[in-house]
Amino acid sequence: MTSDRPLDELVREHEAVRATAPHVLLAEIEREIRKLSPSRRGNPHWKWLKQTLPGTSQYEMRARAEILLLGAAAAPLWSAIADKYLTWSAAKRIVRKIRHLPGKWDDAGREREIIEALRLHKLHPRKPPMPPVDLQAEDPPEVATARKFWATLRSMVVSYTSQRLVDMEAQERECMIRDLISDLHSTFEHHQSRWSSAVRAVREMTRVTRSQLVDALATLHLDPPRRGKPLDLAVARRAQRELARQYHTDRVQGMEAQYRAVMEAYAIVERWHAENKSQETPLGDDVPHLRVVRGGG
Amino acid sequence: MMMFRICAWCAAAAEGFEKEQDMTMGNNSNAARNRQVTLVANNFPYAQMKLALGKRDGRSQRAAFFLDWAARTMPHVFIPYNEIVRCIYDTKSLPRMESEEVVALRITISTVRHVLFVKYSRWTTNAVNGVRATTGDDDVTAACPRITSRMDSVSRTLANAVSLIDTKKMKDKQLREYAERVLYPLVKQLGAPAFQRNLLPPVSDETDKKPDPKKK
Repeated sequence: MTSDRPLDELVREHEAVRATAPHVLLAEIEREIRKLSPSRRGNPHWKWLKQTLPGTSQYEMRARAEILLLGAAAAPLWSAIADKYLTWSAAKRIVRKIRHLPGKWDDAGREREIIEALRLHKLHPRKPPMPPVDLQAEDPPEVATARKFWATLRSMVVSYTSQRLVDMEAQERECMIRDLISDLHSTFEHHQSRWSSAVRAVREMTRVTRSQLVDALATLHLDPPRRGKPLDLAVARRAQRELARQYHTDRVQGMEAQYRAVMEAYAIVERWHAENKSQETPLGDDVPHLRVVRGGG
Repeated sequence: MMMFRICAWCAAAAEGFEKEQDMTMGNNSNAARNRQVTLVANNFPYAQMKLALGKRDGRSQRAAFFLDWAARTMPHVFIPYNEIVRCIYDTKSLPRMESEEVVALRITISTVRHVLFVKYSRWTTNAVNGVRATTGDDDVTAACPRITSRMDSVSRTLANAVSLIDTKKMKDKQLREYAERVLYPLVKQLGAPAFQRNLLPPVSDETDKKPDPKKK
């Protein structure tokens, strides 16, 4: 099946109306051009089409072709695209949904379905619209500090270069300064990310581990809290005070190691408590930390 | 010179590697070592205990044997109850304090104390969730104020109970005689200032002395 008009004329017309004409007209011209493609069995040769119509988005061409297949029922879609209410991907999604509907649909039925799909799209848009940028709003403090720093640096570089590179042209100097500033920017960013990752790694390394906590609590004669359960620091404190009193040099000689161990154990427990405070749940009736049992001399 | 430099480098590298390994394995503090300091019961001779106890192989007997062994090998160290249970039953994992075995041991610790007294001539002292056998005369003496404090509370309880008795209203002759002849004098003896003073815990000489304001 071939078109009556020659290919050159169609391409020229497409180029002429590409910017101004509605998408329906473009789609019709593209259909005519596709018919002239050297493809077999009526399949459009997209690569050839891309070469024939350079500067046209292939994605848009495909979408236009799909919408055109719906015929007269696609009028609401064309208008929605022209109003930039629908993106091409959203339009394609609606078209595919309509095309796969069962039964023999007439144009009116299809149009009704399209309007319903557009209504749903309005109700549940895929991407929320971007909030308008408030140009008058003040910068947050860290951004303001960064701006001030870079402005100061730039002024310093400009004053330095204007003193030293007197013979150089202004435009050339400006280019050089811009390059230097961008280099500094990238270097700063690189080192900043390296530094923050190193700090994070050190913090992770010095965190109190579960095994350390278990060992520390065993030193204080206490059970470790079950995973996800809170630790009662007051109980640990009481145990530490009692054991420290028992192992203190004023009471018994030669128990310095035990005394030191108890003090360090409580320090570890305290650190763990401080690090995991946010994960804790308030103490409830479930699973007390330690059941007090009477006994002992 | 070269050899020395290589050796020094090797030593430094080895030390650094060990440190790094400790850091990566999460041993960057000496919590584990401290646990070894406080709980040294890993070398408990379980087989020796079984042999020594023979047929009298109950929980209290085992605990008393363990506490005696602990008092000899690591005097003055308090052993947590769950550690005692782990040792006397030779289990791998440490039971929790609220587990059945540990609670049972805590309830029967008075029996353990009795066995320790009869068999090993020792007493017990406890702190937090741990217990230990006494190691000598000083230790037993230090444990006595706790018992005397209980005597104090017993005397108060008895005095309160006896204060409710009015012998004039009593019908039973035998009980009236018991109250007049035994209970009243007993309460008087227990409430005597000299006796009550003896129930107070020992105070060191330094704390007895009042600070002299003229010295400053």
